[in-house]
Amino acid sequence: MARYALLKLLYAVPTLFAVLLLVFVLTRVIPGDPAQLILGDQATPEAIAALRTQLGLDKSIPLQFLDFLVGVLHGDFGSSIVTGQSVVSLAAAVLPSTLELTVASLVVGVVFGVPLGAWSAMRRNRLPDIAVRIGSLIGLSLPAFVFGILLLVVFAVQLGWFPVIAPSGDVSVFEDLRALVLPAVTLGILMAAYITRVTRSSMLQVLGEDFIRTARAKGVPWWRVVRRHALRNAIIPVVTVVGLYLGVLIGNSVLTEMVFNRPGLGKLIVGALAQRDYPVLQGLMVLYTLLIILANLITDLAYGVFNPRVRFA
Amino acid sequence: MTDAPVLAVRGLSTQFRIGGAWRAATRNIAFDLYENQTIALVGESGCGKSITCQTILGLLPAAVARTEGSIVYQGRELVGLSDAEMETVRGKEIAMIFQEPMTALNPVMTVGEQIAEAIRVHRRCTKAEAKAEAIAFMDRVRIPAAAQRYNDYPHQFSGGMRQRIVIAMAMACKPKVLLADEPTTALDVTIQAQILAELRDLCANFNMSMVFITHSLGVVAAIADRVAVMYAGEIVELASVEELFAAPQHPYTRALFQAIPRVDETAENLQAIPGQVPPITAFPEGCRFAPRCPMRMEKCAGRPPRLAAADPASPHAVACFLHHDLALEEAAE
Repeated sequence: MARYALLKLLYAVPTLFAVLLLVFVLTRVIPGDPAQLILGDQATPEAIAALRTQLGLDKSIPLQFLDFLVGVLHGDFGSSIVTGQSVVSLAAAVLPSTLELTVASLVVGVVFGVPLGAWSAMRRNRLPDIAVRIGSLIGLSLPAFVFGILLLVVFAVQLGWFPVIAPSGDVSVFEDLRALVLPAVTLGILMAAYITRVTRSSMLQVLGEDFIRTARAKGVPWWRVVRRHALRNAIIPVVTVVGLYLGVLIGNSVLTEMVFNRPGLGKLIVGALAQRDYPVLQGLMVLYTLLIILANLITDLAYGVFNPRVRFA
Repeated sequence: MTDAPVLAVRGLSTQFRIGGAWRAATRNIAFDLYENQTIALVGESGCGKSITCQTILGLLPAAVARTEGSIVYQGRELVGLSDAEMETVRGKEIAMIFQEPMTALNPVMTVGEQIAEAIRVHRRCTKAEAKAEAIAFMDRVRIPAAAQRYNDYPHQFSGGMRQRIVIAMAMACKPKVLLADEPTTALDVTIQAQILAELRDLCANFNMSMVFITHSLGVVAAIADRVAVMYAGEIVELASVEELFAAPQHPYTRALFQAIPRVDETAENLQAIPGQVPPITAFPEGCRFAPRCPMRMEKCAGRPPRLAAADPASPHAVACFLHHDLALEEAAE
């Protein structure tokens, strides 16, 4: 297992390098001189030249990339040109909040998606199946901001069960979790809809397999066949899909964080984009890539846990 | 041998819902299985052999399949039992093994767990007891280093070894009847012979009777006491192995014998049976083999012949007007 994980991490190195290159080139390709942007229209050419030297922009492009790489290797992504804070400290401050939201919505997705999908498969073409299929279709097609605002209006504004805006600063764990419910449901419902569909089709396929008949032939009660034989096999493709979707989920948290005004990577990146804060953008793009690579690694490892055929390969 | 059969099948018909209508895939299946006996069901693919076995165990989904007739196991009627009642019969009283050892085992469960599960669903015992017994059965079906291999997964075994696991699983509760659905078809010839020997040995040692499905007459000769030849959902000939091999009566049985390749003849002389088994939706009226039969007569197209002995003193029964004039009463439906 450790060897497998190490190997997967090694595979991630070229991917990461490619992303660094892409991010670097993208920021250089964007028209406009960052020094000019920072200092504004009124700056003297001398001031701009001075800043260019300070930012290292007077060096050749390959040399700049080398500087960027060396910085990244030292964990230094530069500083925000707006606030002057280091990119790392900016991201570190909001990363827990985004991870919390991602994990919570993943839990919502699995807790609702897997049982609904399995139930739907076992009642194929009957009322529960049709209801679940229509429900998941609605879940998939509802944009996060629409659903989020709907939830806010009903549960936060009308019923007052949850806070409208996440409380900031030091709050109790209970308050923190209470503020997490609506955003997690907003993001999780999409996940659940997706997982439901994958579980359903995977389950349908597994229920037709020979070994299900074998289990029934030895007298295993039906519910036990479903739980011990069918579900354990049907879950394997679900793990893969959830893993792939984890990246999308991290990306989707942008919208949710905007709607619920939660601090997080999503809000940070949208702010940076609006202010053309290139170092922050650059750093966050690398961070997102890292998160997705990490998510894929966790998926690969989880896959090995669920599928014994992978462990020995 | 006791007088009462372990398993008595009478007038068994399995019907499938096809396009809104119920169609009989098998009709009027009847045979007795006595203790320590093996009956072989022989016929081409699509003759209803597997369906008959799965019907006996009630494995076909009720939404698409229904059963008429009677299956009496040790004096107890199985047709009409609830699924919960059937669960106490499956595996414990009547067990089944399947054709494809590669897919018959759950790929994400260790083989040991799968055998132990068969024990634990039928008997109150601790996990350790079930494990010890499962290992004993793995040992019994000659799996080398059984205790070490308990925790291995199916993909770590060869086809022959997997079939041994499937057999150990079926034997785990010492059933009285074993339904074997072409258990050797997917294996190569040497392994085939080993598995057949194993099954014969187990039957003798555990006082077990067997319904053995095959399309190979060679396998029939090796394992069966009696043979039921099936065609298009019906038994067309029922006899002891000796009688059937000495004097096959039904033209279909004879055709099956002629279709066996022989080393002392050239391949051009191989007599394939022309045509194929009709699909369930297009069974002919009278005798279902008539369209492919080289000896068909005018009356064969009318009413279906009944399975009966040509000579009342003999248990050798055949459903063919060449041998008697008895027809199936419930013909025109």
